[in-house]
Amino acid sequence: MLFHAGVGQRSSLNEIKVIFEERHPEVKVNFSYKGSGYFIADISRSKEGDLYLPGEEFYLLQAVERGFITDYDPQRDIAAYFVTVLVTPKGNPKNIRTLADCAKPGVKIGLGNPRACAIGIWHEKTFQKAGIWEAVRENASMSAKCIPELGNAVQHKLIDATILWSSTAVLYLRDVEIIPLKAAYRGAVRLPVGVLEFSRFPQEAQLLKDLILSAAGKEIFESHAYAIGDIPTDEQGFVTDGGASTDALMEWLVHAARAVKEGDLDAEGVGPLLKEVVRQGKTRRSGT
Amino acid sequence: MKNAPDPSLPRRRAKTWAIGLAGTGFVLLLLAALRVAAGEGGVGATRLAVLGVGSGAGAAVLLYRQHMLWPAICVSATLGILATYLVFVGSTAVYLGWSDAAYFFGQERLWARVWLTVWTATISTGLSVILGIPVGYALSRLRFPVPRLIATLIDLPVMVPAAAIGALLFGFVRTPPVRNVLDAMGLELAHSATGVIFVQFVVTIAFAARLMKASFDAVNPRFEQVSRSLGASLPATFLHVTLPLAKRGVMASLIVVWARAAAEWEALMLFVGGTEKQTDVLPFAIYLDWNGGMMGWCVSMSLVCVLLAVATMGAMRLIGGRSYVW
Repeated sequence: MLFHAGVGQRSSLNEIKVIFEERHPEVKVNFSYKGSGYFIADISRSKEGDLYLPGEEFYLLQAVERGFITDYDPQRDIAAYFVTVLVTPKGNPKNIRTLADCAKPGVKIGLGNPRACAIGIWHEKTFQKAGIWEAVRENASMSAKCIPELGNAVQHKLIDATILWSSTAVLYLRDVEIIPLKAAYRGAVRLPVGVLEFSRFPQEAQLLKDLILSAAGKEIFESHAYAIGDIPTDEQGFVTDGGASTDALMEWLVHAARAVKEGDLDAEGVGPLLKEVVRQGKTRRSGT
Repeated sequence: MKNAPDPSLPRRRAKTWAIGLAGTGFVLLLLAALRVAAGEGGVGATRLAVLGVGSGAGAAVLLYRQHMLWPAICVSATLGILATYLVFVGSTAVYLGWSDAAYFFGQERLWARVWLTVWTATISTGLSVILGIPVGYALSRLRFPVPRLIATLIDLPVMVPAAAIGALLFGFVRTPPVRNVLDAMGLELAHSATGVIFVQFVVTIAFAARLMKASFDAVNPRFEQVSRSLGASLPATFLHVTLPLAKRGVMASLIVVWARAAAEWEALMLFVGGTEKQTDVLPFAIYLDWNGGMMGWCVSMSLVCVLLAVATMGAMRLIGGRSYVW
């Protein structure tokens, strides 16, 4: 069974794969991890693959449009959500507290290229909503082609702040500070999954999809700092419940960043992120 | 004339002084840079830098007066590059730190990837060379129409970016004759180690042909003519005269091709895709782990790549030391 998945979801999906292969030892799951932008080209040409989980609904809708996925239900088929957070290097040298601080002169902001990665679109959307897009654009010192580029830039202090997905920010706990955004500017991005029309193992693919969408699957996503459950959003994707469904995750992230830096590996308040805290606590330069 | 001074003595003295001055200048500049890096710039660092530049300039004047400036520039450039390499690897090792290095280098995951890289690159190199030897021989010895055009076409994969090759492979394997052959053989190229070998082979075949041609070019055709005139057939001459004479070149080429195969990434990225434990050869694994924010893995695997390169280059120098190819 071949599973096309966004490279960002690798850690979660590898864990789900272990559970799945324990339950169904006769099925072997192979992942093809790529940047989401590569998928449609690959799938359109190869007509191969069973399951599809890109890093943005947009890419899945492209597959729906081409008839590669026929049963997509935007309510049911959401595995988890990315939540946007503000991220600064360790120690927060420019003392960034709110979105507005990103517009101050002399602050280096990392932006994503909206044509190349979804986070770039969110940068524009978020800063525009805050009415500081022009000033932030003046401050921009990089136009990243993918989100890890921004994560690495913050990690190595090349920029003073950027907005990342929660699930990306959690990878750099030792080297960054995570600052939750106010609910009005907090975005939640749906992460959908679908069985491909030309699947050679449609039943098995459906089983794996069900596992991903089950409580056990979602719990794994949650332990990698994705938001789960139902998150109400407006048309643009900003949360509309005043942050109620994502506040806990934000709290965990802030605590986790502190716990890893202080080497306090039984820290309370990090919730399901404990595994991630322990993993990154083991080494100075993170690895699994 | 008996008491004339040894003309080489002032030159030697100037050389010693120049090396001393240049060395001092380098150390002073390094100290200045370290002070700036530690956030203690200002007058002290400026003074050090000025002194450093001054002693470098003194060395240059000395060498110029003895007409040794050009060789000195060449030697300094070489030393400069070597020093940069050293800083490159050294800083990375410092970044990783001892305890992390011990941790990552002790993990099975790292060595599984090294092993995957080694065996896929070895098989693809074997295939490339099996095909590269006859092609190289043809280009070097045989007469055929439009030789330059044909040689250029064979060389194309050397010049065309590997990413473009990866993109072209999509069409190649999905079009009827090739597709049918692959289906009949039961080969699945995308998302498997077979695909990795296939991509490495396609990317390196041109290198193999080109290097084999150079190896055969280096063999004096007179030996072959003598062998033929004594009644040996062309294949016998090739096996017993040309090939043994080209041995060093062939071995050196083999290692270059292997190194290129082990370093392949772009075409893999596009055509094969990253499947853990199957297609994640070292360059690919570095990319995947970078995506996951796992800098420790990235840095460790990059260091392993450097070690592999040093080992292959060393082997090449040992085996093919005097070959024309490298």
